[in-house]
Amino acid sequence: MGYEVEIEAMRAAAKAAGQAAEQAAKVELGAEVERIAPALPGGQAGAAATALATAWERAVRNWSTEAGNYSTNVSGSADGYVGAEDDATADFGAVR
Amino acid sequence: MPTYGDIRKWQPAPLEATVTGLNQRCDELVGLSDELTASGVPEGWTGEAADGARAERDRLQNSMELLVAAAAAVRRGVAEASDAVEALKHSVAETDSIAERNHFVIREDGSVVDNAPVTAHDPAHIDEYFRERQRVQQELADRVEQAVRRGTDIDSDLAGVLRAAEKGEINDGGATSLQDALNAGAGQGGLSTIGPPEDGSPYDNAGWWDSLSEAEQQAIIDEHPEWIGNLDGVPGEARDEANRARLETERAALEARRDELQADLDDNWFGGTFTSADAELDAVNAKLDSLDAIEETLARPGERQLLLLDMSDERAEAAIANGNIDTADHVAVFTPGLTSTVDGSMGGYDNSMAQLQFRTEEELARYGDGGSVATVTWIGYQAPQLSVGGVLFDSNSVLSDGSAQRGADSLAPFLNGIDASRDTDPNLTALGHSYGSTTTGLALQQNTGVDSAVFFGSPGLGTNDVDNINVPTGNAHYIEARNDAVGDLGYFGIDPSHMDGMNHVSAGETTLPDGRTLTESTGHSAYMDDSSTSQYNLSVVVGGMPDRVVTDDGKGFGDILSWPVPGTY
Repeated sequence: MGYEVEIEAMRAAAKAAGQAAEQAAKVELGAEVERIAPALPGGQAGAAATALATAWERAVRNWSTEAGNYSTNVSGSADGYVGAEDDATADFGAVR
Repeated sequence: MPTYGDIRKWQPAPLEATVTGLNQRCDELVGLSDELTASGVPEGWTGEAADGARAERDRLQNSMELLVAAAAAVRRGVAEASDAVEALKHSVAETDSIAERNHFVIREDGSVVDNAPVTAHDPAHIDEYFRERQRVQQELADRVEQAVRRGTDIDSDLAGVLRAAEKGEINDGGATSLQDALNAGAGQGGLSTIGPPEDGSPYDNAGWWDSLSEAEQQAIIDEHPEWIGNLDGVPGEARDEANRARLETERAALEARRDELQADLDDNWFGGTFTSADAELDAVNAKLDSLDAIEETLARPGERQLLLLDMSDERAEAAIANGNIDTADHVAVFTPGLTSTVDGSMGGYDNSMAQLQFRTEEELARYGDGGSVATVTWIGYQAPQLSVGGVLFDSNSVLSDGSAQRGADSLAPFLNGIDASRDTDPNLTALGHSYGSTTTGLALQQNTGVDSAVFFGSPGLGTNDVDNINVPTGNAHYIEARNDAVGDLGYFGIDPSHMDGMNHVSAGETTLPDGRTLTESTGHSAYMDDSSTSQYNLSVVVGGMPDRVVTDDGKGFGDILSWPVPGTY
């Protein structure tokens, strides 16, 4: 063994990514621009703001999902190295 | 495109709330920085899976940077739109208030409808009644037009920022942190500054200026003073600040041209014999002298405003106010005549205007409302000069009214602009001397909003009929001094001394009912002498106390000769 430090670093990275995903999911960015359309009737900005609200809501959700996936993948990789001496030797060789 | 009715419904408060909300969301997103940094792939992890994870993590970082940049751009765009809408709402409220006060209705589509109650009007004043209705209607239509132009501009600019954010067109400027991305995005969210209307009327210009936020107005003064220095309808304080800022650049341009011309002349064996370089050099030097005269005048004690600065014609043009035309209760605009130039005449006329301002305020304190006064010397046209070519042959001759016609086309909007730039119109008087009275007479045949006029030493007002002078009936005055031959010329219309309906006021020695003695003015150039009857008459008209004038038919021997033969004019 001897790869625990790296594996712990991977787990920490995965945890941080998971926290970022969780925090980002709570950011209601799109909702903020929904106030624009009723404030400016008759123009183009209202429709543009409505479209942006939808786009931002989707962007935040997607980013959060992708950050969560990244977290899961890194965490899964760390788990995979535990007890897999050959794989660890190959992938952490540089730090031995 | 939004209609006037739409803009009436616009609300800055939700936009402000959007900015506050976006501030918080931006903070939350930038707050992910620590987690993102900590989520980096450990350096010691290598191989295919590590490379894939590293690429994915970089992509997450980049996409968050782009999202933060977009949020910052939108935050700035909405903040600027909020300020702009706030200013526009004030302008719209002011326009609606003018309409209401004057019994007009502005429909949702922006059309202006006269809604005055049907009442009987004094036939003697019917013309001025309709003239005033037309003037207010024009003001409202122009203000509505500018509000819609401004509203469309705000809406279009903001929509542009929002669309760019939606389409992912806001870049992060190569940022490597969320904070850098935030700054880069903010730089891409600003709204454009809308310029003045092209060939706008004073009401268009006033409507445009009113529709801008204070920050936008100051930015225009700082960055584009040439837009507004001479723009009728913009308040005097703003024009003054812009024009003072222009003095230095105008001087630098003239000095460069002077040096260029001088070098050309030095290099040419024949000097200016076969070129116009020497004549142009004289003109450039006169303009530099004009700048000196302007700066010396502005440096005198007391408040002054530089309301016009134009070096584009053969001779410099300028207008300087004593006092503040934005706040004074009474404003007078004096147009001088033959041989007037900025370099040669501004200093002397400014003295006369300063004295007239002082005397008018003195009379107002003594017998009037104690109001404040501003007096303007307006040399905003190419007054004819006494040269052989000028007098006899060209279109700028004193024997032609061409110069006065062109001057009138500049003077009329200048006068209108004073009313247009203010919420409450001042008591506005036009003063015209000599050829300047012809210019003033022609200007007042347009719809200027001027309340009173005093002409003195006039070769004619460009009309034979006082009814063509568009001031309220009974508010046109004429002074002619003894031995003023110009006043008897009757060249541009009949001698005003013979004009029916004109109030003839005195230039002779007088003792006022309160015991003050005033001196006589004689000849062509003493009408504004301090403590003269003529100056006193100017002051009481400027101060809105025409019932206090000293009357006199002013007719002397020359007037007998200039008596128009009935049926010939």
